[in-house]
Amino acid sequence: MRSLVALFLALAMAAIPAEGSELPNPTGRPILEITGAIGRTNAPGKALFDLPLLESLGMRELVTITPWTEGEQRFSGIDPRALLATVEARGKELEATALDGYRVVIPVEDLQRFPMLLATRRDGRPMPVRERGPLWLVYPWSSHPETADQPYRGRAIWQLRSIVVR
Amino acid sequence: MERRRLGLVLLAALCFAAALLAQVGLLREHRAFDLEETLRSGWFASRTEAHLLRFASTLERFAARGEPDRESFHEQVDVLLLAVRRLVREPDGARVMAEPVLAELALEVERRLFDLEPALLFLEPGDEAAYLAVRDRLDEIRRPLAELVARAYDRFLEAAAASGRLTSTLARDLWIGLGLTGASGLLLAGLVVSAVGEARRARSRADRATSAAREAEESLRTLVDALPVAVTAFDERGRLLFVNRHAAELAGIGGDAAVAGAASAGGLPAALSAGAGRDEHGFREVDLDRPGGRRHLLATTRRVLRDDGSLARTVHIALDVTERRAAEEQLRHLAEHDPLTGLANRTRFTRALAAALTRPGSRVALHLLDLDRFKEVNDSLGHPAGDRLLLAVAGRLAGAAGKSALIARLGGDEFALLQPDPANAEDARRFATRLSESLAQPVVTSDGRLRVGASIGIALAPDHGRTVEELLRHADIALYRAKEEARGSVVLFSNELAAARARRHQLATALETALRQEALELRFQPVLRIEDLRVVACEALLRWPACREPTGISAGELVAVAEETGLVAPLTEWVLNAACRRGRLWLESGRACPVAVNISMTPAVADRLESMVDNALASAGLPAHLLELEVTEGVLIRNFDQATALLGRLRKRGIKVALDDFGTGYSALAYLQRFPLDKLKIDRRFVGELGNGPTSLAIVDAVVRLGHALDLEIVAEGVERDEQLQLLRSVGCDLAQGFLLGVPETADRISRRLGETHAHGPLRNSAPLVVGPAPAPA
Repeated sequence: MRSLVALFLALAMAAIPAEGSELPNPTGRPILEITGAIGRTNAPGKALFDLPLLESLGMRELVTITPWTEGEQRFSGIDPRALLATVEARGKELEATALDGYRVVIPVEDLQRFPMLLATRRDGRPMPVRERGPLWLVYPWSSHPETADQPYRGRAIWQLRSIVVR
Repeated sequence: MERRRLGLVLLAALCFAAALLAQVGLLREHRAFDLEETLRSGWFASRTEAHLLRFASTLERFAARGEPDRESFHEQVDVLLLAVRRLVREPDGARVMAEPVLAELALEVERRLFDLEPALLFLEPGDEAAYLAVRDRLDEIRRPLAELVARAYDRFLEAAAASGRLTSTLARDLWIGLGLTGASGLLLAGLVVSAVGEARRARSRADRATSAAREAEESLRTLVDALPVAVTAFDERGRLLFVNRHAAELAGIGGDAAVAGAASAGGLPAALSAGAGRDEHGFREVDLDRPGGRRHLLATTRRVLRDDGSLARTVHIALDVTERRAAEEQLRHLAEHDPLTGLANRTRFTRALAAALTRPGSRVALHLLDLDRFKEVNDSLGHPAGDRLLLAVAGRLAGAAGKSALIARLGGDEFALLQPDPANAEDARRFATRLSESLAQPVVTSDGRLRVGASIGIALAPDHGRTVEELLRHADIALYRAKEEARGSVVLFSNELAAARARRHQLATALETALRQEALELRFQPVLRIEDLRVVACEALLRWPACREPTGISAGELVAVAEETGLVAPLTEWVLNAACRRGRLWLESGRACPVAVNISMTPAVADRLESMVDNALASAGLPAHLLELEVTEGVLIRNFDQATALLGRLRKRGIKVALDDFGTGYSALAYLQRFPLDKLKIDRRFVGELGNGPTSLAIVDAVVRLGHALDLEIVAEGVERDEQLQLLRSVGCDLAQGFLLGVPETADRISRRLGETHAHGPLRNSAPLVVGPAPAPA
C-alpha cells in the first residue's frame, strides 16, 4: 500500500535542473543520492554520498527501541538536518525511496520536531541491506512514542537509497 | 506517454487501495478485528510475493546483461531476504502469521531462500546454465509463498465464517468491497494491455525505449499478478492479449505463453474467456471445472476498454469465490443441521415441510419417531453412549427411508421424516413399519449391544392437515398413542385420536380444578381372604364425585391424565392423606383394616414418597402396618436399584408393599427375588380366563407357587364368578378381590360392611354382588 501511495508522488514529481557543485566527490560506491531543490551537488543535478562522506558530516548516537525489533538498539549516524544543510536543501518535503522500491514523503517539519537520526551504524557497525541498511531514517521511538504510530511509522524508511527535496 | 500511464496507474492504484481500505473499514465497523488481521496477513504475504516476482525479473536482467551491476544485484538479494525474514521473525510478520500453518509456510520460504543465497551471490552474468538452475530454484520458492498467500486469504474467509459475522449484511458489504477491488483490477489490467501494446510498438524504435517500456510492463504485470483475482484481456477479434498468474493457474495454462498473444480465447475455459464477447456485464457466478475435477465457483465481470481509435479490448475479471461460498454453505449447513448426526434440524425440516405443503396437489406423510429406551441408555451409560446410539439410529433410519425422504433430528431422541408422495395411508404405514423394523435389531457400539425401539406417529397431508403446525400436532397425537401402546408401535393419525386427545386435555383441566377444590373422593374395594372370605384390606381408589364426574371416565384414564399433567404427585399426596384418615377412623371405631393405596411411581412421586407417606401416617395417626402401597412392574424396569432401596425403607417402617397387575408388564421374574415385597397381585386378565381352559389355571398355579416360594401372599384381582373363586381356592391362592366379593364403595358403605364383617363373618347379607354401572377397579 505504501508503494502505491508513493506512485502518486512519482506522478507529481518534477525534475529540477541541478546547480553547480562544491561538494566533495565520494570515493567509494555511492549509497545515497539527493536530487531536487538543492544548492550543492557533486554530479550533474545530484549530490552523491558514500559512507565516509556521509559520516564526515558529524556522528551522533540514538538509543531507542524500534517498532520492528526487540529491545533497545544503539544507532549512530548523522543528523538529517545537517545533511540537508550540506546540500543546501530548499524545500518542505523529502521524497525518500528505498532499495526495495518503497517510497514515502517526509515533511521537513518532522526533522525540527523530533531528534531524528539518519542511521549508518548499529552497535558501531555498518548495517547490511538485509538488516535495513545501509541507511535507516530513525525516529526517537523511545522518547517520542507517538512516532511509532502512523503517519510517522511509515516515514521511518529503511534501505534508504535516494531523496528528492521539494 | 509515460506521464499518462503513470496517471492511470495512480488512478487504478488508488481505486485498489480504496477498495481494500473500504473492506478493512467495513470489517472494523463490524468490530471484526480478527478478520482485519487475517486480511492483513494476506496483504502482507502478497506484498512479499510481489517482491519475489520483482526480484525474478531483476535476476533475469542481471544474468543476461549484467544490469544492474553486481553490487546492486546483491543489494536486491538482501532486500528480498529482509522481506521474507519479516514474514517469519519480526513482530509485524509474526502477528499476521500467527496461524501455525502460515508460519510453517513462511519458514519454508525463508529456509529455501537462505539455501539459494550462495548460488545467487556467485552468479555471473552470461552463465546461462547457472542462471537457469537458480531460476528454477527461485520458482520452487514461489510455490510455498503462493500457497502462503492463498492460505492467508483462505484464513480470512474462515475467520469471517468462524466469527459468525458472515451475516448477510457483512456478506453484502464484502461483495461491494470486492467489487471495487475487481473494478480497479480491471483498470490495472487495461493498463497492462496498453503497456504490452506499447512495448510492441516500441520494438521498432530505439533500444532504450524498449527497455523503458519493458520495465513499465514488468512492474504492471507484477502488480496485476499479485492481485487475488483472475484477469484476462482480449482484443477486438477475441485473441487473448493478457492473462495474469491467477487466471493462468485457474485455466491450467502457462501465463507467459499466453501473453505472447498467439493464444486464442478458445484455449481458455468459458468461465475465463466469456470476455471474447462485446457486451459488458456486472458480477455473475460461473462454474469452472478444473482438470483435477474440482469445481470452482467464479464471480466474473467484464468491461470493454476502447482505444482512441475505438479498437475495443475486453477485460475479464473473475474472483474465485469457491472457498467463500463453501464457508457460507458451511454456515447454512450449521444453521440447518443437527451437529451430532448431520441430519436436518427442526428449522430445516419445518421449512422443507412448508415448501412441500405449498406445492399444489402434493401429498406427504409426516412421520414422528421417538426412541423407546433412549433415556435409559443415556442415564445408565452416559451421554457419549447416547450420542453413539443416536448416530447409529440416524444411519439405520437413512438406510430404511431411502433417498427421497428427508430425515431430521428434532432434538433429544425425537426424529422426523418427510415421506414424499405416499400412494395411500397404507403406503405411509409400510414406510413407518420399515423404519421401526430397522431399529428392531440391537445396535452394536463400543458400549455393547443396545436395544432400542421406536414408536412412530404418522400424519398425512392433505388428509390430516394442510399446515405445518397442524400436521406436526396431529403426528404428535399419533406418536403419543403409539407410545402408550406396545413398544415399536406405528399409529396413523385419526379424528378419533384427536378427540381422545382433546378429551384428555379437558380431563386434565377438570382434574386440576377438582384437586384444587378437594372435590375428589375415594372409593374402597375389599380384599378378602379366600379361606374364610373375611375382609383383610381395602384398596383405596380415586374417583370423581358422582355429581361432577365427566362422562365415562375410567380410573385408568384418570391416572394417565394425572401422570401426563404432573398432577400425579399432589394427587398421590391427597390420596395418601385421605386413605390414612379413613384407616384411622376404622381403627378408632374398632374395625381396623389395612388400607391399600396405588402408587404411580413417576420420578416426581418417587422423590417425595417417603416424606409424603410419613406425613400422611403422622397427621392421621395411623400405624404403619395398616398402610399398604401397591406399585406396578414399571417400577422394576425404570430404576430397579432406586425403587428397591425406597420400598425397602418403607417396609422397615412396617408398611406392606404389593406388586400390582403382575403378569401384564415385563414379568421380570428374576427381579422378584431381590425386590422387597409382601404381596403379589395376579392381573385380572389371568383370573378372568379361569374356567375357560387349563392354560390360565396353570399360569395362576405357577404364580401362586412362585409367590409362596418367595414368601409372598398372592392376591387374585377381578374375581367375578364363583367358579373362579373355587379354582383360586384349589391352587392355594391367598386373597381375592373383584365384583363377586365387593365393588368399590363409598367410605360410609364400606365402613358399614367392615362392621358387619367383623360382627357376622364373611359375605353374609352383604351389598349386592354387582352394583349398577360401577367403574372397574384400577
